[in-house]
Amino acid sequence: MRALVDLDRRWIFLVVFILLAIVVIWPLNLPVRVTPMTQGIYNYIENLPAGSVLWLGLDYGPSVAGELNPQLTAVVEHAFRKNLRIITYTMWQTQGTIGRNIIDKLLKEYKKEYGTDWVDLGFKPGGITNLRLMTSSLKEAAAGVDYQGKSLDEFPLTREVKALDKPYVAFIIDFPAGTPGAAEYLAIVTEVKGVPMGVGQIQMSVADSMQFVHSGQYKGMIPGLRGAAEYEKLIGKPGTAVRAMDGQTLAAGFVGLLIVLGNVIYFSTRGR
Amino acid sequence: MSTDVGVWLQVICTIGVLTYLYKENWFWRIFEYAIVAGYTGYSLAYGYHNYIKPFIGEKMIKEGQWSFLIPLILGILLYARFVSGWGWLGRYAMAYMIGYGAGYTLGFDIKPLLGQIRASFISLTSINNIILWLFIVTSLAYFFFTVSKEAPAMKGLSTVGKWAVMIALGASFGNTILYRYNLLYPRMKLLFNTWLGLGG
Repeated sequence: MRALVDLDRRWIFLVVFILLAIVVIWPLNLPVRVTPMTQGIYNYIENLPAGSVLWLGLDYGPSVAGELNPQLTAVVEHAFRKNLRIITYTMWQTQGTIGRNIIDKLLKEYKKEYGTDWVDLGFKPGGITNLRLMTSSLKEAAAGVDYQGKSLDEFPLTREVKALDKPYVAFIIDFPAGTPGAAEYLAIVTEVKGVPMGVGQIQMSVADSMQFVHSGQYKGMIPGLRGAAEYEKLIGKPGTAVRAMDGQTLAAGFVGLLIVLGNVIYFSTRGR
Repeated sequence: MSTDVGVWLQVICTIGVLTYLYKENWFWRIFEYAIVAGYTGYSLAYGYHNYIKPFIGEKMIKEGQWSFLIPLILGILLYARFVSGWGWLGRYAMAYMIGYGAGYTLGFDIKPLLGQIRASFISLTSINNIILWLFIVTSLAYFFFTVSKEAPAMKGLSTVGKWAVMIALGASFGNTILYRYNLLYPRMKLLFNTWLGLGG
């Protein structure tokens, strides 16, 4: 027992590394069950009429791309299959080209056209101030240009969509890594303008967002990489996230075992 | 094994950062500094192309929308703190930002909370709703500091509330562990699938 109390934590890191390495090389293909939260987003998109505008807030940087990229890929794929049109916007300058590269690839795959089926406003400074301006005038908030500096008047989609408001935008999904993000969309857009929204959340913030799903303020939530795996299953295209579930299950099981073991050691050595 | 230079660069950075798990070392510090330096340079360039150029260069100077001069001046004033004796000027810009933040909080942050209050009026017809209602009431009781925790009714309520808060924190902790794994997984894929070409 004494040896376990004094165990160097680096041994734990090593075991986690070996466990993950095994499943990355030899996937177990464990089953994925879809939760009502993810189903909520899927159903909302599924029921939107073709041509509706889906607003995607890409409020994350490279640090959480591993988690949010698979979510974004699955959602965009679903939207293009349903012939929805997409506008993307980010309040995070570290977003860079992360989301754009994903959508660009899918745009070609589904033979869609930039300007008609998708416009990327890119990063615009100002955070919540600018988000608020988006709800009254897209052109003003975006300085009249997309990410390339091209006039929004050049594109059929942004000639039609005047603001982040009804009736132009049918549904918002924000993918936030923190602030500004989904909470700001909820306060500024959904609660004030009534545009429904959902969220693609990082795993760490899932518990904080559950209350908004329960209250119906979010129509649904894609919870972390697990949510991405569920969405991949829903669209019938298992990918990176589904494969990642093997490792997540093993890692969570191992940490759970350590927690139980830690408690057993604590209670058995208490008072000695 | 991959022959892509970009992949090799990513692998070197990943291994460099992972060496910190063994102990802090000079190799890890190279990548720590590189990330900070890269981010600073990136922010400067991004800020120029997304703010200075379209708003100041195009809108203000070319199109004559001189109202952009106000945020420009406020922005410049923030740097006054670096000039000895002129630091007080920066307080005007700071006061504007704090005032906007306070106004925003009062104007917008209340609305989502109202939705939360509405959602707590639930019919007690299922076990889930009963647990939810019980935990809302007892958690609020735990943070109700104007009545002594020793008062007979409060003691039981706040104890249940404390457990409710602990369960919520436990859920957050569990999610944090999975989040850390979600950060590690893409790196493992890079090392074994993309770089070494094993499995996938």
